[in-house]
Formats: sequence, structure tokens, C-alpha cells
Amino acid sequence: MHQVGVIGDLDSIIGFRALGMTVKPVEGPAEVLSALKSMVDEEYAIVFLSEPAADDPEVQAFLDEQRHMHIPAVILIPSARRKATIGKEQLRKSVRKATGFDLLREM
Amino acid sequence: MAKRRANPNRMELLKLKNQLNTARRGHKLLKDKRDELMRQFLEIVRITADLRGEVEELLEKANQEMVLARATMQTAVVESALLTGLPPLQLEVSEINTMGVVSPVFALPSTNNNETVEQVDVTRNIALGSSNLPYGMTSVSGELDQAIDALREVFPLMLKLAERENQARLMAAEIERTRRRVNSLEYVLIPELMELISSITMKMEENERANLTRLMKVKDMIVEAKIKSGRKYRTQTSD
Repeated sequence: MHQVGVIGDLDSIIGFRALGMTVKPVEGPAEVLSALKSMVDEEYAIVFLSEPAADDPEVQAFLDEQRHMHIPAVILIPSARRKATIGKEQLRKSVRKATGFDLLREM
Repeated sequence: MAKRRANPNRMELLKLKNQLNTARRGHKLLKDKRDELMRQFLEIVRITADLRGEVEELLEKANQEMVLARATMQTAVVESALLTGLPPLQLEVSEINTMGVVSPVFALPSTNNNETVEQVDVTRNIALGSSNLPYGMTSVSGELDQAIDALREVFPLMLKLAERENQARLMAAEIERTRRRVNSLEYVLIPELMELISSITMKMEENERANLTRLMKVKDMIVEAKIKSGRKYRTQTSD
């Protein structure tokens, strides 16, 4: 059995507490990183990461390192303050990497 | 590219030819694997892209509701309402294997587990989006209920999205790896082997020719010697 975690600013993620997820409010990339690391160590199944929290080179580098791990699945979710763009961008990036084409553009 | 050197003999040639055969077969297999992986990957990506759009839309709605809820209540009240004794959400993780890519599948725990009935009820409620809320009704405004309901509605989709996106990510890595192997076979190993084989055959042919000329020369010498000795003999006997 594995838990589900949420990392992000308090406003966007507090509701997930009512679903039984582990909610970790963070501010600043350093806190994001340490929260992510602890969730990876505790073998969470899924970590939902709010997009502003993922928008940092160090966090991105850490996520890239985790690319080959099966769990946790780190999934980006939109926050209350900003529209979601990075999640789509990442999906597009992995398509480009795998196929050599940007196939999602026309979709 | 560092050139490999091989002894020009038949044994080496045979070995290299076998190697080339194997490499060609492996190349074909890997290419097929890559194509099939690509096909499945694109399907998954398409599903993931749709799911992501849907989840993002729903989550934004839920976020708006949450903002509303927080506007009508004090932060402390919201937080204390949500700090409930809910058991932590636990997921069952199993694995599926698509084309050798093992990816996790997430599921809410099924009822036939030996959990307590209470826990099962809670998880079931989450899955079904029931209106049982984990806090009291008195201090909390209706907006929060709506926000939580909205989140519950998205949750199954989020689970699916997590699964698919993770699978897409792992598959992309596998495709990349396979493509590298295909390319290194196609552009490095196979040409190298072919070059080696042709250089060995050429050297062997050259040796063959050298041998032939040597034989011819030797034969010439023998004939010459015979002729000479024959003359000598004839001059001796004619006397």
C-alpha cells in the first residue's frame, strides 16, 4: 500500500486533505525539494505537484533524475493562482524526445 | 571510429559472417519493437493529453470553489475543518507490462481486503463522490462542501491521469533507448562488420593470386630446369 501526496501552496492543495492525501504546503524551491525527496523515500504512489512549485531549475533537475523510477508518479496540477502550462509542456517534451516530432502541436 | 583488425583467415571470416547475420536479425527485431512501442506510445499520449485537459479544467473549477470557500471563512476554520481523523488514502500499486515496459497501475483498495469496514467505507465514498464530508456542519460554510465535492469528482480522473502520464514517461524513455540501439546497430556495428568482411575476402583473394603466381613461377622454373637437363642429356647421348 502506498500513499498519495500533494505539494504546493496551501491555497491550491488544502482541499485534498479531505480526500485523505498527505498535504505538504511549501514555500520556495528548497522546501519543495525536501518535501519531494521525503515522499520519494517513503515510496508514495503518486505525488501531485502544483505547477508554480515545479517551476524551478533545481526541482526540474530532480524530476529528470527520477524519470526512470516507477513510483512515485509525479504529476503536475494547476494551482489556484496560475493557469497550467508546464504539465502539457512536459508531455510534449517527452513526445518530442521519443518520436523526434512535435506531434501534440496540432492536437 | 577505431578500426578493428582481424586476421585474414577463413575461420575469422566465418565468425564475422555469423556475427553480421545476428546483428541484422537483432536490428530488424529492435526496429519492429521500436515501431510498435511508438504506436502504443502515441495512443497513450493522445489519451493522456485529453485526460490532462479535462483534469486541468476540473481542477481549476475546484480551485475557484476553494477560493470562494476560503473567502467566506477564516483560514483557521478551514484548516481545522480539514484536519480530520481521516485515515490516509492508500493505493494499491500493481504493475502492467506493455512491450517490456513495466509501469505501475494505481487502484483504490478493493473491498475483499482484510481491512476494517470503516476504512473501506471511506475509500469507497471517495471513489463514488459521496456527500459524506469529514467534518461537522456547524462551523463550515456550504462553499467548502462544494469545493470538496468538486475535488472528489476529479479524483478518479487524476488517478487515471497519473497512471497514463507515468506510463507515457516510462515508455518515452524506453523508446529512446531502443532507438539508440537500433541506430548503433544500423550505423556502427553492421557497416563495421561488412567492411571487415570485405577486407578479409579481398585479402584472401589477394593471397590466392599471390599463391597462383608463385606456383606458376615455380612451374616455370621446374620446366626450365627440365629443359636444361634434357638438353644436357641429349648432348651427352648424341656423342
